[in-house]
Amino acid sequence: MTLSSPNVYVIDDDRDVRRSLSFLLGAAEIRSHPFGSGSDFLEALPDLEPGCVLLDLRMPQIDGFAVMAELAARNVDWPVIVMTGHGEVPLAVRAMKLGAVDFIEKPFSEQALLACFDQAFGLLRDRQRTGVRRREAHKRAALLTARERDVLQSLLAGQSNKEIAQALGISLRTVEMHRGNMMDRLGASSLAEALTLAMEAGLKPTSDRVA
Amino acid sequence: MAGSAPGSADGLTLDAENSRLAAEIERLGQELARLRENEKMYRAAAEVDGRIVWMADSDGAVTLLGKPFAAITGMAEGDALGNGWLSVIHPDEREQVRLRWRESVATGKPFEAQFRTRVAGGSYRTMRSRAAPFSGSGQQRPAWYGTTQDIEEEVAAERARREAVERLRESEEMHRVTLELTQQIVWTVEPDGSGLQLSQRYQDLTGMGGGDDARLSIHPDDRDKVAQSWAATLESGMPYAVECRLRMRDGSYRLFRVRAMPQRDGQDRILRWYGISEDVDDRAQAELARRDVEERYRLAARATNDAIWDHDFTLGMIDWSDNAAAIVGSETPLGRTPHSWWSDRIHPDEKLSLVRSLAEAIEGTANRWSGTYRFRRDDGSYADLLDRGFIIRDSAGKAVRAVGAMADLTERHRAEAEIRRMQAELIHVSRLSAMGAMASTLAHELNQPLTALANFISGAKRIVEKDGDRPQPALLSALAAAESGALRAGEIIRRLRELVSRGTVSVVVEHLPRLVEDAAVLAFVDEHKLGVSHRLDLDPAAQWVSVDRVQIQQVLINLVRNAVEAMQDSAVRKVVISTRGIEGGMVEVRVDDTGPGIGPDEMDELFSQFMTTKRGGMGVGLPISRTIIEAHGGTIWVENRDGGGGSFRFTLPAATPRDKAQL
Repeated sequence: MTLSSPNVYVIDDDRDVRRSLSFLLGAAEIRSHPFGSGSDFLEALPDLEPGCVLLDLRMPQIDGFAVMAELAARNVDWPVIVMTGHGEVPLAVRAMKLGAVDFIEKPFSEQALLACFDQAFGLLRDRQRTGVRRREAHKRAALLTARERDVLQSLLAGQSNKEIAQALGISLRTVEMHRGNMMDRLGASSLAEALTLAMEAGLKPTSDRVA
Repeated sequence: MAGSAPGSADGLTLDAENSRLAAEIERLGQELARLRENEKMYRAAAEVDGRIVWMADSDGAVTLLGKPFAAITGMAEGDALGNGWLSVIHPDEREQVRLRWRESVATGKPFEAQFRTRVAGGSYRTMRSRAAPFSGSGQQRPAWYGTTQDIEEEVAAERARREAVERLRESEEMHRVTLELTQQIVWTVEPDGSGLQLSQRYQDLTGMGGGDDARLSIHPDDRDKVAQSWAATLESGMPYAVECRLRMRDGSYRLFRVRAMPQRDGQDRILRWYGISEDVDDRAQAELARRDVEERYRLAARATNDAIWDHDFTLGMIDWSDNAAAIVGSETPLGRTPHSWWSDRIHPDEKLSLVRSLAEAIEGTANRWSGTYRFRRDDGSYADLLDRGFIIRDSAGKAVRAVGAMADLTERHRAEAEIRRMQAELIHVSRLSAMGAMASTLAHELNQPLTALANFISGAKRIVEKDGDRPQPALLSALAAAESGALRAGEIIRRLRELVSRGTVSVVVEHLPRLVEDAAVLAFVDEHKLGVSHRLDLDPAAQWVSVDRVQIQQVLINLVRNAVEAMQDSAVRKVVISTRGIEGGMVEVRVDDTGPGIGPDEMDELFSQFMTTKRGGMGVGLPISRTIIEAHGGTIWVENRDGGGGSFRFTLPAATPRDKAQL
């Protein structure tokens, strides 16, 4: 039995529910890690591999909402599935607004649970990939000089070289020089590639900064 | 002619003597004749004068009586001579007259007596007799001449005079006594105002002597007024009236009413002014007191909404206070109405019993009556009235009138009904909601083990399936049945919960300040009794929420009740309910108290489902509050305030009026 699946973090204050979920997920060859409270999970979070979160909303002290808020605060975009009781649709809706990918009412069937995880695992993979690209883009963008970054952001705003030279108060030739260096440092072969990288790195167009 | 005869010398002498004697006799004879003539004249004159002339000898026996005697008394002269005349004297006085006459005869002193004499016809008239002794020559004892005169008119006149004088005296005495007895000061002045004379009463009251200036007893503030009006009166001659304060003997001032009238003669000239000054202080005080009472009554009548009425049974009329018009919705005061105006407006269902109860009170001995009834207004609607009256009876116990107050309880009843309705609604929904919450609680508590059960079975089934070497069809079918049983149990719980809660939760867009204010009215309805105060601090930015109003009010009431209970032993007992908009499209509602706050051990337990609660009535327990808030997509929790005291908070989804419009 090889457990090659992504990690699943089960957070529920009820011990029986925790153990039964680990048992079921183990039988379904899904690697799960139980936590008895939101704070236990958040405490361990920095050392955890990326994974999906199966979260009970009703918990004393730190409830499911608080856990989700903290994940968002720490820029952790792991998919979260929330568990609710019957008739707690408003709670589920609120959880979805906070970023939960799905909710499931207790008691649930094996099929319903596994269907949720199928979707969540796909999302996790996408987010992981985006995350890798984004980290790469951040790394490359960090290599740019201040001037090269200005030029890139001006290009993001759709300005021509001439406009950039005017706005930055430098010559057209100097703009062309910075632009060439910028492309080299980003390893971009085209302007389109450079602009995609810039957006993935979280750079913003200049238009809102330059009057 | 004896005087002219010649004779001797002796003869001559004798003749001369004889002639002298004869001349003397002649003279005496003439004298006698003259005297007799005189006597006759006298007697005639006396008789003309109405006097009876009489003579008596020295022994007192009457020897002669004038003619009028017989005519007056009807007794013959012959019978009256001697002592016979005494028989016409009134028996009561006869002996006294006889004795006096004897005494005069014995002593020779003039006689005078007054007595009643029987006259012809039998009546008595008063007569007076006078007599004087007359001594003739040669007689040892004198004879008596007398007259008796009828003085009846004279005596009657004198008696009348005396009586008149007496009456006058008595009248004067009475007048004097009257003046002394009267409480009024009586005074008089000359036509020009001088020569003021005041009755004794003035001196008694003011302590001022007759010589003192009477103006000094007038209160200094009143002197000008009195002087001016009096001067004008002297000028005009019109009757005078003024009120002023007079200083009493003890230095206090009392109010007097001064009035005066001129006495005029036939030519309409003023002879004197007569005046009386009357103490009206008590009357004035009573009048002031009466006005004071009336004013207070009027103010009281105005201050209260009660309409005051005065029912005169003998006239069958009712007088109404001005505010009675408001009860019937009339623009103009009711004034006085017939009894029927009132009875006709009583609601038909109550008229008979009410009029009968009043009639029984009137005919019985009760002095109070009251009734509650509906009373028709001008617009046809009915006011709820509480009417109370006092029955006033005459000395025979007959009810003559009743005075009472009519209170309009319509508004109070309406408000009470509204509060009762809100309470009933809350209690009703609270029960349903409590059942729903209980079902929800049960579902949650049962769902946990059911979830575990289903998971374990599903896991076990998976493991058995995977073991391809040793197929276990019986075990697999047993596990499948167990799995579906667990899920069916969950389904049954779900349906049960939906059944209980169906129709009780209706989430609509509500105005949060109004919702909180209404809940506060109910929660603090007995706040004075509980000795707490409260304040609302409502954020104008938090206007609209999507909630079930009644359920959220239950939560609020529950939180307030908990807060009040927690503050029982606190010196300051104050609750603040506040609202504010927060991030994430939510609104936060807080109930802060000044109690001891929440102990750290209690914090987690407070909202747990199986914590017992002794709450009853309108509020719901904290676990149910939590169920309600979470069902709305909010959260509920508790903190301790920095300054001490607990702070229960919950959040609700905010809405916009646009959401309301869409609903």
